[in-house]
Amino acid sequence: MNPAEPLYEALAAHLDRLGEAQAPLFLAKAALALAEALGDGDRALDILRECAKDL
Amino acid sequence: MRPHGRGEHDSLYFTYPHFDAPPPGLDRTSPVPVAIVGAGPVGMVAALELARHGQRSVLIEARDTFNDGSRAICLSRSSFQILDRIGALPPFLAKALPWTTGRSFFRGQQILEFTMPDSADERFRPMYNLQQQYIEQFLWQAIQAQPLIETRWQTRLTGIDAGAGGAVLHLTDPAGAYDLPARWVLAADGARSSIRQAMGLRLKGENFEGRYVIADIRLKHDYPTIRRALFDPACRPGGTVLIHRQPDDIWRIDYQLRDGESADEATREENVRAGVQGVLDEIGESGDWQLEWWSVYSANTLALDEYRHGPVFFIGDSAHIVPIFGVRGLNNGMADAQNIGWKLALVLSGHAGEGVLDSYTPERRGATLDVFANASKSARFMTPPSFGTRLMRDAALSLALRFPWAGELANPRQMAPYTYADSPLTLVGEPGPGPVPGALIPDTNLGDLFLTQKMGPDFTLLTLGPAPKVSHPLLTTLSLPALWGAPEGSAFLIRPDLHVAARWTSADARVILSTLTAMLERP
Repeated sequence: MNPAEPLYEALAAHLDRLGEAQAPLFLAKAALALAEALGDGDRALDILRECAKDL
Repeated sequence: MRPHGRGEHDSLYFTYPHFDAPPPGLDRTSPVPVAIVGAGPVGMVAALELARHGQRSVLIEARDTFNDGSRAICLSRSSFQILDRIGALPPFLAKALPWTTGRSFFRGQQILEFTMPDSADERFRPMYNLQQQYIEQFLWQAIQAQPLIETRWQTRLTGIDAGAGGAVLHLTDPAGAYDLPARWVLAADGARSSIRQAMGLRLKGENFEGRYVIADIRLKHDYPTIRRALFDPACRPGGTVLIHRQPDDIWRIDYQLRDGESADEATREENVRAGVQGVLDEIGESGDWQLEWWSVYSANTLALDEYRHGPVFFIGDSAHIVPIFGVRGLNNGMADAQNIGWKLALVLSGHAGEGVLDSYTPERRGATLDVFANASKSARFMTPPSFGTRLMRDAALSLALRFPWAGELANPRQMAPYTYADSPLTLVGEPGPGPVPGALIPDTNLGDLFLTQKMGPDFTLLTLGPAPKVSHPLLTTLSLPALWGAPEGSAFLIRPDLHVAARWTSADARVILSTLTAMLERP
């Protein structure tokens, strides 16, 4: 199994439970908390820059 | 459906045979050991498996020819092993297109290439593409060579009375209505099973919202046999397209209907032609093409709670309906047919007690639920049913353009054989190298032959090193110097369907014989 799969499924479940209106705030909080947990600010910023592409 | 002016079976490349109804003088009403309702591929595999073990059956079919259209087109490696066991393999090997690779694209850019496990130890490739009418034709050729199978075409089931000692089928054919008593009945009559309806049984489960047009076209091409999945292509914004190559220059194109697009509208010929042309433009195919056949499909995961009801066993689509993503429908049905086929044959021949049949539902419904778990994930990715799943799917696809790990989330999880770990016929043994009890044995190239070709017709005792003296009428013994990294002296008891029934790290003749006897003598 892809190691990302449980996270993918859990995020989808959270989004379905919270609904469309609360999704942006939830995702922003999740991104910030996960970036902090990464413990590497430069890497987190690189990832955020990449995620801002291809939207 | 076919283009305007062509009949239901008027194919560009396949000549559908016509099968006559049984002759008026045929003895229609004498009891039969096994009646199989439905002469599609699953019913035919069941009949051939029974015949392989010397058991007679009658195949009942309402139609007068094969199923129209290509329908199921992917046969897995394990299905090829079944075809080999029932003696139907050669034409399949000659005609089907083997494949190992799939590619997924997002907005025209490739985001994933997956390769299914394959090696020189495998006799068969992981997957083969072949139209269902060829599958039926090749199975029919094997049936024609088999005197133990009687087929009654143009014979419709109108009712069934099932009791503890057997069933009576109420049938009608052009000569009139009659009753056929059968000790056992296999319901292989498909998703709209007449037997299931007559017995008041219902499939339960989940319907997915995504609907697809599936269309076959004829087009000269040289693209290899690689499954292609297009996510959010320009021709279907927000939708998904699947493309498979089939023999005879036939391509299968599946494309998702847009939200709010009605199936009636989508399946009008001019709309199908426009939809197909859009896909061909997307992948850069500019050659002339002809429309062969099309249908509409929606993904479901539905199954009966119990696959056995007295003397009636449900096999294939009559028992379960699975999404097409991951190609599990026909392959699962063929495994059902093989599973109940050998068990019924051993009961009918007196080699096994009827208790053996109690293992059918846990084994095959267990396999269905495993398929559901995988196919549901694939279906949710292909056709996300909710806000959360859609947003995450879109995020994964977008990420996959820059992060290869995200592309793996688009892997369709092709079918893998199910391990009968919880079956009453599986003896849980000590952990160790080699296949676990309940698993399908992995094939191995032994130089002269592959391992699966050396298996006996019924049970096989495979020992590593000197074989103990075990004698049983259903047992073939095979001794090899080493295999699977298992220690010398190990023994594996392998079932007729090539699943491991039991294994030991040291072979004791008395224990092996008592295990086999206990398995078969279930009252």
